[in-house]
Amino acid sequence: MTLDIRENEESEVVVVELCGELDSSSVAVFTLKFREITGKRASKKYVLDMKGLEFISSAGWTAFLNECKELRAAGGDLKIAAMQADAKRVYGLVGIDSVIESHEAVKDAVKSYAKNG
Amino acid sequence: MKEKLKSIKWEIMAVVLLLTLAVTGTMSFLLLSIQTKSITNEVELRGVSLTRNIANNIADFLLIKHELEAAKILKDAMKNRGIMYAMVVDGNNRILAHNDMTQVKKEYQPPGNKSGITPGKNTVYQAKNGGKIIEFTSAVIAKNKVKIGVVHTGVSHDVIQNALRKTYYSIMAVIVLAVILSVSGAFFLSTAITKPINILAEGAKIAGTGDLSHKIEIKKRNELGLLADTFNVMTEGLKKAQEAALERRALEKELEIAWQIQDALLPKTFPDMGKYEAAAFYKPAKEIGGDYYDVIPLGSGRFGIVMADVSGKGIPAALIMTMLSSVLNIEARAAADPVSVISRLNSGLQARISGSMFATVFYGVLDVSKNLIEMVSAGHHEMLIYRKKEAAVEAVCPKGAAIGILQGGDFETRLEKKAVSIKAGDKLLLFTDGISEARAKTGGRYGMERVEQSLRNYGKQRCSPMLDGLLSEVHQFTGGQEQSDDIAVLAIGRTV
Repeated sequence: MTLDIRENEESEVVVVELCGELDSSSVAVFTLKFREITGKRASKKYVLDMKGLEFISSAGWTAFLNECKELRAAGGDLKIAAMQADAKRVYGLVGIDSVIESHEAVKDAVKSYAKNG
Repeated sequence: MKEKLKSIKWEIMAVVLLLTLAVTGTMSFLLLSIQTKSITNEVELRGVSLTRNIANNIADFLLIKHELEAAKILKDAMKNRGIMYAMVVDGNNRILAHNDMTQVKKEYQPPGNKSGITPGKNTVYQAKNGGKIIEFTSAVIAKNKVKIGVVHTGVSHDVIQNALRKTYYSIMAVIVLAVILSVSGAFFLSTAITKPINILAEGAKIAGTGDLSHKIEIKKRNELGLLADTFNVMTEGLKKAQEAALERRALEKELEIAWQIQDALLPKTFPDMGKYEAAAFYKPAKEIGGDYYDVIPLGSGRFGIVMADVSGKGIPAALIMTMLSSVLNIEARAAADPVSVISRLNSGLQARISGSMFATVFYGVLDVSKNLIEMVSAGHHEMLIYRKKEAAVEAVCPKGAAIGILQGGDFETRLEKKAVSIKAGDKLLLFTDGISEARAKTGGRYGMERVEQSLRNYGKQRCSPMLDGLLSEVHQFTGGQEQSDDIAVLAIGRTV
């Protein structure tokens, strides 16, 4: 039930690596740390690297939807990349695919920001 | 238990009194000794000098036997304070001259018993009448160096005592004044301390009875005032903590009632479905939950089968769950097509679900006469079907999106409707991800495969024992580990 967050900045886009499990017990940690990161930066373009995320529950998806909403309100956006199989399933099933953009590879997600300017 | 309090005041006053007496007593003693020595010294010096003067003056007169003149000198000497007698005694111990003329020619007698020697080596006698007399002597030597006799003068020791008396009284007065001042000072000072202490004690007692609004009033800007302020801060803190605890209790009580209301929405018994039976199990995680299941009679042998899961936990999820239950119960009866039912559910709830919350709903209309179930899924995972004939498990998962994610037309177009027929002995298993995501101590998740396997293991049985079996396997897997998500399962079975 731990969650590690690592960040690295590529061009103007901030990539946040998530590792571990994101369920109702670690959701507060995610929200706190993610807001710490967004608070420090002017850039509002984010990519969540989910390669290391072994598990995500509905509480986790709710948190992603929330942060996405906040970033969009500030003129930015949140995209996700490198989902594991289970996460991908829920992503399509619940319909999050109609709200948050996803990519297979992190660099594709980063590039997609440039395309839209 | 009311003990008579022995005030510390008395101890303080006693100590101060003793100290005062000790100090003033010691100093008085020293002062008196010094004065005594000094006065004694003076008396002696005067005595010695007087006696010598007499001896010098009287020598010549005695030599030429001018007795009158001699007597005059001695009488004059008597004018000095404290002189009791003045005489001249010859070598044969006879009184040659005396201030009292009647004593002449008598034998010299010491004034009393010898009782001591002065520092100046003069003899002190204890007289018969009780007083002490110091006797000074000086040799009378005439011009021609002949010793005529010895002058004896007697000085009353009382001279010394009288001189000291004044000092003595002054000292006594000072001691008495010192004692009065110090003891009163001690009394007032200790009262200044004990009075606030009593106020503090009283305040603590009142606080102890539960009245935490009582404030201790000590206006002094010293340690006692500090103690009072600190005490008041403490009771204020305790009061706030008490209020917070009461609020928490009230809130817990409200949560309990809210849970009871919510729990009442989850059916424990099911409507008569003819040859179909139903069983359900629900176990909330610690907090108030957001899962919901239902079997809604729609008439004409049709039933709405519901399994729903609201994202999130706590009161927000519970509120959405109750809204969902109300709206769904109405819409299920209002429309025949499950797609319409769920679309209308989404329209009804979409505006009300705040922020990023969503709810997954699996909804099917079971027709017991046609042995058919038509299903839609608003973002919910698959329903499992146990086929008795094949002893196998199928999964059915119509496409869709969760309630609260999409609006209106977008939502409806995404909904896929599926229908399956049900044979005798077949079982439908609807559940929330609390089961498939149930966690073992070691960290692994139960997973969909295990659910399917458990269903295979127990599918032959009636719904109720089947659920028992399934849940026992889940319990074994989790090892009794506390779960962070609600578990809800609904089983529908065709008996014949």
